[in-house]
Amino acid sequence: MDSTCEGHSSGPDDVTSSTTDDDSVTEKKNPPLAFTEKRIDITQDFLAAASELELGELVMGENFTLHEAMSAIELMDPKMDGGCFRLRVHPTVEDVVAQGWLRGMPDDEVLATVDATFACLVSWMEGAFIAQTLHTNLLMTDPDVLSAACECQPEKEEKDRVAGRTMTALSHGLAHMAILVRHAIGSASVCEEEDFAMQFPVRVSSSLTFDETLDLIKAAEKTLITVGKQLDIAPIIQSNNDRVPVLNAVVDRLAWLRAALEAMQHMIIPRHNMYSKDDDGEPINFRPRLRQAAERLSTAVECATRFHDTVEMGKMAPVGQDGDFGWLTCFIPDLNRRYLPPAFPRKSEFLTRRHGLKQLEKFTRRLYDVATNVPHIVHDLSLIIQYLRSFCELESCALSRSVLQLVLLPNDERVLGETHLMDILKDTIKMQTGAPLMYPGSPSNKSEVVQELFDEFASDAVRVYLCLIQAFGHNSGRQRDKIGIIFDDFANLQLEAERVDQEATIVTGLYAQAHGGDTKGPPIGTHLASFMNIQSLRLIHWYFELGFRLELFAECEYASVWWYMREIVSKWTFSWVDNATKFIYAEYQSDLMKYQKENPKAVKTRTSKLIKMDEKFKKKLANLKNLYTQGEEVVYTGMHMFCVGLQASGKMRIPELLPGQSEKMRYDHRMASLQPFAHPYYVPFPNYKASSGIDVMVLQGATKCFNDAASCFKSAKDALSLHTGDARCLAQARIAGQNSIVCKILASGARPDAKVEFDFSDKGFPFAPTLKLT
Amino acid sequence: MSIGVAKTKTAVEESSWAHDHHTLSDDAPPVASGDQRGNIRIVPYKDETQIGDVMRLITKDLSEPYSIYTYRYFIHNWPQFCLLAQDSVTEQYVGVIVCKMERTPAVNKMRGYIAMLAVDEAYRKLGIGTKLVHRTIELMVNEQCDEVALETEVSNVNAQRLYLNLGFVKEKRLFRYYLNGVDAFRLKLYFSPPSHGIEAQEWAAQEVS
Ligand SMILES: CC(C)(COP(=O)(O)OP(=O)(O)OC[C@H]1O[C@@H](n2cnc3c(N)ncnc32)[C@H](O)[C@@H]1OP(=O)(O)O)[C@@H](O)C(=O)NCCC(=O)NCCS
Repeated sequence: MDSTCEGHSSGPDDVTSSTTDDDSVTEKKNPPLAFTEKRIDITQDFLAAASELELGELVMGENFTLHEAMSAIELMDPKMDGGCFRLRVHPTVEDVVAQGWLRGMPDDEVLATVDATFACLVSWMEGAFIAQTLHTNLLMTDPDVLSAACECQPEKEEKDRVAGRTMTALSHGLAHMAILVRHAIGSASVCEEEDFAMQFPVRVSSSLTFDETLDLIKAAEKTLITVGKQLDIAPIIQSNNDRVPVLNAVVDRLAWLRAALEAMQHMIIPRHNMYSKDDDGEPINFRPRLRQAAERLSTAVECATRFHDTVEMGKMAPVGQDGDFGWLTCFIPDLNRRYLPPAFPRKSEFLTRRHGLKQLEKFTRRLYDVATNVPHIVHDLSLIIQYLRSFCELESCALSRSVLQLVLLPNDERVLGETHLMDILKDTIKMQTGAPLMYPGSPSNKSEVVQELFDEFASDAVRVYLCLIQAFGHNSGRQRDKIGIIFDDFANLQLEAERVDQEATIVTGLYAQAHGGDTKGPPIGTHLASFMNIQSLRLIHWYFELGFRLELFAECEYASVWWYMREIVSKWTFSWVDNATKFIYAEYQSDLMKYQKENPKAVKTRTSKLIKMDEKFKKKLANLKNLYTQGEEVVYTGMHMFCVGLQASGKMRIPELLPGQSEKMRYDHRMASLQPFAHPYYVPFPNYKASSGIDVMVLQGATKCFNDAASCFKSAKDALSLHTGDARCLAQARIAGQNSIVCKILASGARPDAKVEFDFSDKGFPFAPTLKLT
Repeated sequence: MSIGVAKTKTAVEESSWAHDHHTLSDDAPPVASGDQRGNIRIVPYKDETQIGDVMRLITKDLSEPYSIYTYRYFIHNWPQFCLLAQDSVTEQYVGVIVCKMERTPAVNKMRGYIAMLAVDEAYRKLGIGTKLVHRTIELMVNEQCDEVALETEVSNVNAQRLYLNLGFVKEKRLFRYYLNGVDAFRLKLYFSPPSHGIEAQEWAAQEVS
């Protein structure tokens, strides 16, 4: 970014920007309201009309909605009306510098101020208003004025420059950061107002270029290091010794800021790229520079790791609570009150320094994770989805999810700005099922009809996957809603895939008939359908996993959810993966035969080509195995049985406000988003009742259910314990073991009054809670 | 408590407001020890003379109060869906429910919406809350209601238990719904089956608004 940076308020719908225009942040510049109509006094008419109203009667215009009702404030009610407190006159940045606040600022206050500012930055990144957080530090509101003021009052001695240099660097750096952050979140468009507040009520700008800002921060770091060295050499007074670690801690913060800025610049498409075109009129393609980003982020992580242990070196808050940081010289909590709507809650929740810095460290690690891991997953669509899923599990924030989106698809449909998603899709299909229609020279590869159908499928799939990838950028609540809608597209893709398979089978069959059974490649089958079904089932799996993670299911729904997970998701995934495995074997056999035919001598000696073939085959098998989680089916069965047992024993009530209807209604709505899949993935309520046999099980009694559940958990435990090298499996085995004991206790009737608790606190196993008796 | 002051979106369901359900205001609660408590009767909202009591009961559980227009918006438009619980001995109002019901244009469903529910602390765990909700739902069903919705803070387990016991389900989780940064659950009780693609339509409609 070479131009100076500037951010403007986000547009006409921006409630807090009414006092702002491009050049000014003061109310004075607002044009005076123009009254062109003649005004008349309606007081008497109003009072007369009001006297006809009943007490409490409300006269409403058509457009008076709940929104208006709730936004209305009762004037002079101190809990509602922000305007009933007098606005104080606050010092300006110039005042602060002229009065020597910075010169006299002790190092521990410098550190505390930087940390508090970082905490505010995080509060802002997590959804609070910038005017109530970052910009309550007066010095952050206008970097240019701060620079100018510091230049007017040059400090003679290096040691007096610490605060001025630090704050100036911080101010310019964070202005660039704020604009970068808002640009990233705005461009990725995966956030809504609850995730992030886009408004800049006060203009955010720095007249320094990005590189100049980095230099400024570096120079500040140098100053601090020099001062530290001088103190180290000449510890005239004992207290100087204590200053050095504090200064080093500030240097760490500045170094973090510089590294993080640079890294983000490597990862995020620049603003000017988005609108400019090259000489041929093509949009300029941006490629994230992940290697460079990773280098800078490794430095940033290193700095951030030290935040935790040094935060206490900063000035202590007077009553031990950070609060709104009003106890720090540069912080003025209600500095920007006049830019906030009158009914706005006057207190914003502030993160403490400790908490804010911890979040900042986590954020830095997440970006590092993106920069280092994304290059390894971008060749395979399943891995991309898998990565997006795991990223959600990492308590990702709006900004890191946005950055991930921009890294994956910075300009258009090219992943990392390089490989077209279409090519990745095709590679993934080859990897997962080895579709013969992509096999050069095969009858279906040569068939125009098949290829046309396939192209149509592939371009539809690319469109759907673009939506899906974007859905993963949203917070998990909204993500689940969006996935529920994308199911419709997945169901369509499945149908399209089946059509391609059918046509390919016909074409290949005809060819084989005419050529004595030769299919010119691996035998044809439901390759694309297998691919699409596995993809759909993985997505359904995630949809339910999100349901558990978001704590959406009520206990009375558990039995049906776990039944569905076992009977539909697990069993069908297993079956389609098994199918795909057979295709991969067949492909390998066919390749081998072809190779042996062409190289009769190579059979005995293992040529490098053969070794490569073997490796590829093994890799494909391992990849398929990853799509199916071992042992989960038995665990689900156990959970299902257990819940039925609870129902049979009366420990779990099924609410029936409308007898005979309520449960069905709940089920129908819960499963509604699966309807597009139709049979077999959408199971209507009567079919669920019939095939689960749940009513019969309830009649057979709780003891049998608990005993059956106990043996399911026992066998899950035994099977999972065999994976001695896999910590995840072993942890799951432990849970299964404990659950089996709980089931046994209940079956024995030893604790008839015990209450059952489903403990989902182990986030690693959202589907497999630990059962507890209380 | 369900509704919140809207920030910029217009729909109720989209609105947000900072409240902390467990923060009690300084207002003195009506004192009633076990033996002073009389029978509780559920009475319909009569007129503006009760609005002070409605506001007193609700405001206690809010950190930031609703303006009087918010109460009037609901009560004036849907007085039939505002019920109060009254102690027959002290004549004090000890519980209240405030709702609305209208057809949602996007999906053409008659949707009841529970905006506010509160029971005086001294009268909790007696089934009053459940009774207020149950009675209101009956009234709504009589008027061909398709579903009843509400929002509640994820941490408000008391309210959730009450609603789940009645057969509500947590349809979705709304990220940082309240301005105090807390997530909400949207709870729903259904009286008619989903129409195909309804969720998608509704979602699209929300996107537009
Ligand atoms: C939520 C609230 C309205 C519940 O009111 P309530 O009158 O206490 O509710 P109920 O008595 O109907 O039910 C609550 C629990 O008490 C139990 N209960 C009912 N009668 C009981 C009795 N005689 N003895 C013991 N427990 C009883 C109910 O079963 C239920 O709990 P459970 O799951 O353990 O069975 C009340 O706690 C409140 O005002 N909270 C603050 C405001 C609020 O959060 N509103 C909801 C906004 S969405």
